Amino acid sequence: VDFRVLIVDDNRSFLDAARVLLEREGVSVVGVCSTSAEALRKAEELRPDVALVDIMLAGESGFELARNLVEQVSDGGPTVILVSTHAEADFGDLIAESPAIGFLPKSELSADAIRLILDGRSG
Amino acid sequence: VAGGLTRRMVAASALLAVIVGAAFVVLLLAIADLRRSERQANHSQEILTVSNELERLVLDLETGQRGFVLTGEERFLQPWHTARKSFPRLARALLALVAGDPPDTRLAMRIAKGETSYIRDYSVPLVKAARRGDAFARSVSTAAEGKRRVDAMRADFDRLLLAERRDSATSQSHADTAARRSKIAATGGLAGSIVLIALYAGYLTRVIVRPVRRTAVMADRLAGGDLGARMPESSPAEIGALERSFNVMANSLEKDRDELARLAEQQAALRRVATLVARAASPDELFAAVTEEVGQLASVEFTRLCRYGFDGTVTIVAGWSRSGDYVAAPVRQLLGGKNVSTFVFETGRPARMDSYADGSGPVAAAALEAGFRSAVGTPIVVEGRLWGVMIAASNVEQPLPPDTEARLADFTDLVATAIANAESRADLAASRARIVGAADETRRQIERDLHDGAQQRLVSLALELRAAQRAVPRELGELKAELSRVSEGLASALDGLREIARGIHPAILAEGGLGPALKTLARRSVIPVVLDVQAEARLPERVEVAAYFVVSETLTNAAKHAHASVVHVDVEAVDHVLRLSIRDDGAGGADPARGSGLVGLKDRVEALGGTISVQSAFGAGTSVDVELPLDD
Repeated sequence: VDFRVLIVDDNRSFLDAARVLLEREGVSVVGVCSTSAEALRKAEELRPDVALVDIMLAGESGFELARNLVEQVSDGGPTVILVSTHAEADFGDLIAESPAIGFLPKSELSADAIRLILDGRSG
Repeated sequence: VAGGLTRRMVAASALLAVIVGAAFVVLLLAIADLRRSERQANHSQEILTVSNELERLVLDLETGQRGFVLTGEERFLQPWHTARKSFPRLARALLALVAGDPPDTRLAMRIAKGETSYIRDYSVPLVKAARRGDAFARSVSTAAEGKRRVDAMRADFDRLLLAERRDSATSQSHADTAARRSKIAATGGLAGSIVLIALYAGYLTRVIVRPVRRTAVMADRLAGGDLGARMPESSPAEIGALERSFNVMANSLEKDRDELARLAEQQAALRRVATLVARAASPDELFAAVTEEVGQLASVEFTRLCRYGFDGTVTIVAGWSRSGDYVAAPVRQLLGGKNVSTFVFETGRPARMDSYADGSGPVAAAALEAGFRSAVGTPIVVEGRLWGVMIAASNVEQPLPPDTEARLADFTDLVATAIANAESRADLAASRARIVGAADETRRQIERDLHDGAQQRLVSLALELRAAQRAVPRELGELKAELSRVSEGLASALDGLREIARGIHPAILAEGGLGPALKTLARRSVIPVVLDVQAEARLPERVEVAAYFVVSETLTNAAKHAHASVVHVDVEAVDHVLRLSIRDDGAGGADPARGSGLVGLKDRVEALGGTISVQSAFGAGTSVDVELPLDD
């Protein structure tokens, strides 16, 4: 187990499916949650390495949560990767301007894809 | 007309006729006298001639007989014979001439008798005696007898002549008197006529010619447009009547002209207001114009345009005062009491108050404070419902003219039309906005439903499928490959679904606003886009949506039809207006009437109260300019 993941999404079935898939691929999913407040609390409490944040949370903005995770969680917080059912191009510069290190379409979520993004940042 | 000109003329003419007639009568009498005197003179002359003839006969007799007596020669008797033969004729002539004048007749008879006797009793016997040679013929006594007889006859002739001369002189003096008298009469008649005619001419000049000339001058001034020209009504009789008639005519002309001018002024005012109505000017502009036009036209101090509320109140929405001190302020007052606004509200008909002294209620109090003393109000009825009231008021306590209601009504009809139009337009615009808004809302809802429902579910399924793939044992390679194909199909289906969702409503608009949304459009466009956005991060959602679809549709058109090589998109929010300018360098020739895309954009833009203009000359590219109001 090389990294620990927190998944933030307002869709229950996605959370379940993602957790099952990632764990089956050897990723440690330390928690899942559906709201920003919950996400911030769990990030502080569970200290995940990576937070997968849905851009379109119900009534809330994933970009804002990404900013808050980086700025408010002690010791720098988790590395944020944004996810969405939409394509990256649909959000234009918003992703590049956010503190997230990358974007993953939900349908392409996998441990390898996450690793690729993490490697891209460190490399 | 007392002492009419005709009577004066007749009297003056009669006087002239009397004077001239009298002069002629005197003249005629004098001429008759002259004629009589002349006849008398001729008569006397004839008597003198005949008596002279007779006297000469006597001489002839006497001379002839004496010659014969002395010589005895018969030739001396020649005149004697002639005289004897002529005598009876001349004696008869003389008697005839003096007939009718007894003294002269007596004298003539004596002369005739004497001469007859002289011839018969003296001369003839003497000649006979001489022829016989009788001494008697030469005797002295005979000669003396002859001389006595001749002297007696001569004396008679002298008397007759004297009498005739006297008669002649008398008639001559009569004739002279008559001539003198006629001269005096003619001179007097002529002088009197001249004086009278001069007086008459002077009088005519004064009472007829001068006033008529003055009237002609005034008529010229009148014809020249100076309708203030008037005559002094000082002349007598018919001329006086003429002057009065002239003044009556001038008064009526002036009145008609003033009436015409007033009508023309009213028509012009109505036309100005009607033009504003037709131009769909804003209610504020129209109300201000109407209150001023009515104030000027009705010559009142104040006008007010008020709207009735649903809560028993009335609100002044526009006003005007002659002094210019009206300050626009939507003052709301409670109806009730005695005042024009309340009367009109209660009856739905025009109302007037000739004095605000007996007014009551909040409206009357405010009106009194503003300076109203009497007022007229006319209802404004918009499509059958009482909308408000138009009030004209005076600052003096006397009734406004009776036609004030009618004048107001002309304008309130126009105001009602304008309000109905404005309400229709507002209703139409609101309904368009609602339709477009509802359509947008529906699209967003569909997009969200897709996202939250089918898309999410498919994404989860895809992940679950991949998880299942991981669990498949290595030896079941066939199954693994099959699952992998399903997974790919699922991913492709998700891509298609994403594409559809994006077309229905761009998620980024809600997430990032117009700027980022346009950036993604530009990035996805097949033609290079030069984008310049000068606007705040977030604008009203309906404006963002409209602007996004305008750019999206225009870029699609540019790619599909224009074959452009570059598109410039400029977005700028200034002064509560968002301006979009999209220009390509393509073929041009886009027809807004043909392409349903442009028509849809027009509907969308105008529903927000915006404007869109498309310039697309062939070969000159296409440019679309849109303005969207940012305020509600």
